[in-house]
Amino acid sequence: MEPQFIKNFIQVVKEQIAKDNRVQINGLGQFLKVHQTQTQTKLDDGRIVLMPPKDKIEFKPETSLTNDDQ
Amino acid sequence: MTINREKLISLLVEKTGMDRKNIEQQLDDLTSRIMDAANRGKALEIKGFGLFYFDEDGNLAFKASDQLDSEINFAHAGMEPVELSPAKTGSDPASKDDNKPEDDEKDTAEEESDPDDVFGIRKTLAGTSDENDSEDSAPLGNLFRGESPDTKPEPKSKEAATKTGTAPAKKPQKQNTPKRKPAAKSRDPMNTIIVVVLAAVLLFAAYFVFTEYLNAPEQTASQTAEQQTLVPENPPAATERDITESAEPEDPEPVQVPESENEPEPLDDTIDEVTTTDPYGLYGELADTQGDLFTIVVHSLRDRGVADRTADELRQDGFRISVNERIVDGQTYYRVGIGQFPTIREAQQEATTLPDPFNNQNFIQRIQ
Repeated sequence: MEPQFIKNFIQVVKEQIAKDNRVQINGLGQFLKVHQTQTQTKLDDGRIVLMPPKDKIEFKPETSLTNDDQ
Repeated sequence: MTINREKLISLLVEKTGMDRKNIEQQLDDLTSRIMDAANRGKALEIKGFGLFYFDEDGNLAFKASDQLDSEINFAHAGMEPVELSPAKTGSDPASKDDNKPEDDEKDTAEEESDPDDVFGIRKTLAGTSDENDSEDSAPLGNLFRGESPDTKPEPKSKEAATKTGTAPAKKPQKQNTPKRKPAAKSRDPMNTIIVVVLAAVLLFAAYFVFTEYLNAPEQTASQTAEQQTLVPENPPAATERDITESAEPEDPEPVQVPESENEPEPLDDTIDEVTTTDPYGLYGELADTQGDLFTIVVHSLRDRGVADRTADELRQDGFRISVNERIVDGQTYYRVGIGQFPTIREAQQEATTLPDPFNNQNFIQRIQ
């Protein structure tokens, strides 16, 4: 596997996810971007904080992919 | 839109310029390597992308790298949790610090050292650049990190992984743990005392200045009233001129004592006996003297006849009366003065003994 391929693969996946596209990789699953709205959370020390919104990458594995050993 | 295998390969061909078949081969190879490592119970990390592993439920999971997370979350970069309410009183932040992991303490220290970086933008950028630096410095051949069991994250529930977004336990709940603000500094009692004393001194100073400010105009006003009070006939414009004239030596003018019909308020009948030998005082006849001579002006009239009648009326009460002619702003005024005194001070003192309203509506004028 060529390093150039890995580098460009990462780049392409990033670009497509940033454009709100899902990237389907056969044999693995889908990469997609999900948005989390801001949430209010109470911490253990009693403080109440407002967590900022966030965009994060989520991976949905193909349903057939399970580890038989477990 | 979903980028399927065909589109992905097309994009990769366009991006790399490599042969399509080669790209397909590389992609299959990548997939098989990930699955092989995962099936062997190991995690495969693609540097700059993320970590593939099987979670405790036996499903293939992916943990994005910090760099990928930052780039995907570009729109909200630098936003930090906002504290809405402080910790409950009674909780000991110091003891909590002791129980926190080192990562947390490090974050707190960084935040304290850079208070201007409120939203942590600088820190985020610094972290990204550091990662970039390390990526740049690393050879591309190291893109795949070792498939050692060490890299496999601890098993974690899928729900927790989804909620926190940090499936592996590399940095437990770091993103959901807001960076704590530095604890409120306990105030030095000496500082408090100094502040209180300074505030008290400032208050006293302000009080004295204020009282001085209040008293000054009153004194001025009372002094002015003594010297400037005029009888109603005198126009206001003449007031200042009168004061000036009273302070400056002037040539004495002949005193005329005409008849007076304009009767002022009746004066006290108890009049001190006048000695003709004393040229000064409120009562008696006008006498020629040497040196300065002042009188208490109680009327300033524009009509000579009225002035004379007023003077005569006062003269009947035993007062030593003089009528002086003055030109103020082109107008001629006839001032009816009571008494003659060698100094202004004596005139002022005697003016206070005059019956009302002369005791507060008069001014001193030099007549010689």
